[in-house]
Amino acid sequence: MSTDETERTAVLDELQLLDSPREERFDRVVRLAQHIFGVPFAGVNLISDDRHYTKAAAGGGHGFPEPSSSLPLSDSLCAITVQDDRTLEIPDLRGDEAWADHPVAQGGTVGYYAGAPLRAPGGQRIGSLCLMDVVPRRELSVGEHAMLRDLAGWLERELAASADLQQGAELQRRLLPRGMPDLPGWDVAGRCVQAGAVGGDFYDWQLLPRLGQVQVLLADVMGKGIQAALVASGVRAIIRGTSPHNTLTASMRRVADDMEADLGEISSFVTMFVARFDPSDGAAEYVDAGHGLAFVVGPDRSVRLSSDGLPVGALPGERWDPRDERIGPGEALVIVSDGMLDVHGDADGVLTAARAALEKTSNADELVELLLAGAVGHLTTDDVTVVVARRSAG
Amino acid sequence: MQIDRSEVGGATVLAANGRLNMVSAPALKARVDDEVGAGNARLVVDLAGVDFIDSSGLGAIIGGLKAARQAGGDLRIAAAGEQVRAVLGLTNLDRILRPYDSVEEATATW
Repeated sequence: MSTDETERTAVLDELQLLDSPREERFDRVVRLAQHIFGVPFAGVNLISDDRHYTKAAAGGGHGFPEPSSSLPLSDSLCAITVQDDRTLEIPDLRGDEAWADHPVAQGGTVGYYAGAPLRAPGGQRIGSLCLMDVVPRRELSVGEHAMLRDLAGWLERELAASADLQQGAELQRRLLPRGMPDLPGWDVAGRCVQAGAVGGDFYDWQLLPRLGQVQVLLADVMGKGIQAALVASGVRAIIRGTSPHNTLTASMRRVADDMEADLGEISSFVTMFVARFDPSDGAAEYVDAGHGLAFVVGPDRSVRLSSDGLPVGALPGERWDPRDERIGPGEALVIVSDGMLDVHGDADGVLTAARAALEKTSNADELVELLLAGAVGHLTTDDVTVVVARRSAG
Repeated sequence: MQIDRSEVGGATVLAANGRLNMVSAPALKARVDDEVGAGNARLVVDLAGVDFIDSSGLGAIIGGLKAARQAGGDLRIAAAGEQVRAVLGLTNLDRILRPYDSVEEATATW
């Protein structure tokens, strides 16, 4: 047995996942993966030293592994996936000479395979999030690879939660954007201070190159703790994946459709504010899904941006149409979570604080920190999150 | 949380008391589901005794609203305080959950 195998098995023992019963927190992710990628099968498979255990499966049966079943390692492609850090993708398994001798290729059920390795909190690769189809498929795009990795990240956070809530919180922080987009004339910053180890607030930004826009958003999942954090990860993965290719309205529709069942099951909903702007001229559009706490502050005006959209998951069939705005030179888009209301009372109070913070600071990062400094230490039981896109005056 | 039940003008009234939050919200949601399951889909949640509601409480009411509408009825809220009205306004949920001043007003159009 190699060192890797020994370590992997030790970690799996510690996490007590082998032969554990089905759990909704894993099932939910594979259902999402199956839906997002449009494959007949998506599963979470754990690889010990002597077998492959299917922890979660959407679309099991008909030659695909059933949940809570085991396979010999020789019959497992995921056992190969865990040998490397990269996603293993085999678009045409039966037609690929390199795999001609593998029992799965000879078995004839699987035409396509993609597996993203799953790491334990200590970094050991212990399993795989895998997608399978009966027929060959085209290769995943760069965006799809990133989304599969995002979902794998979500599962890794679940694995960590089995061991230690604190480690789960650390992984959640990693889901927030790190690098700042390089945008001449703009800077973007955000931070989330969570009341508990894990929470339901998150923010994100991303470049939308095909649309010539930058997207900035803040979302707040109703409720707290692991359940809210799980929904937040799902919302984040879906909107990141869909936004580069779709209008704001269509992207919101996608989030609402994909999350409807999960939100309904736990009587939860999500408030979101999503803005897109063209960095060349500041032309912006936004939707407000019941969030209500977004502002443009500047030297000449301070306004609250709002529309009458409902939170995601409140009622089926809601449609979010964008409103137009422009972020002028010297102005900043400021979005905060409702934890800020504990400090400033109401939306007008937040607007006044944001306007004052803009005057006292010279970049987005300082503005975020100053707003948070006023909130941290204040008696609040809610998460407090701020994200800012600030346009330089020149 | 204590939930008192009464009937007014063909509607079922559930009067909640205290703080409607993460701890108490599931109890209210369960009561609403029970009523809808028993065929009483015209519901009024009387919030006169509720001094604070958080997002979980709001989730329970919205969940109840969906259940009632699916069963062909509706769920209305009555006597909501300032804080509840502010939260409904901020989230645009007052679009689908209009706050009525009293139980009588909520049931008047049924």
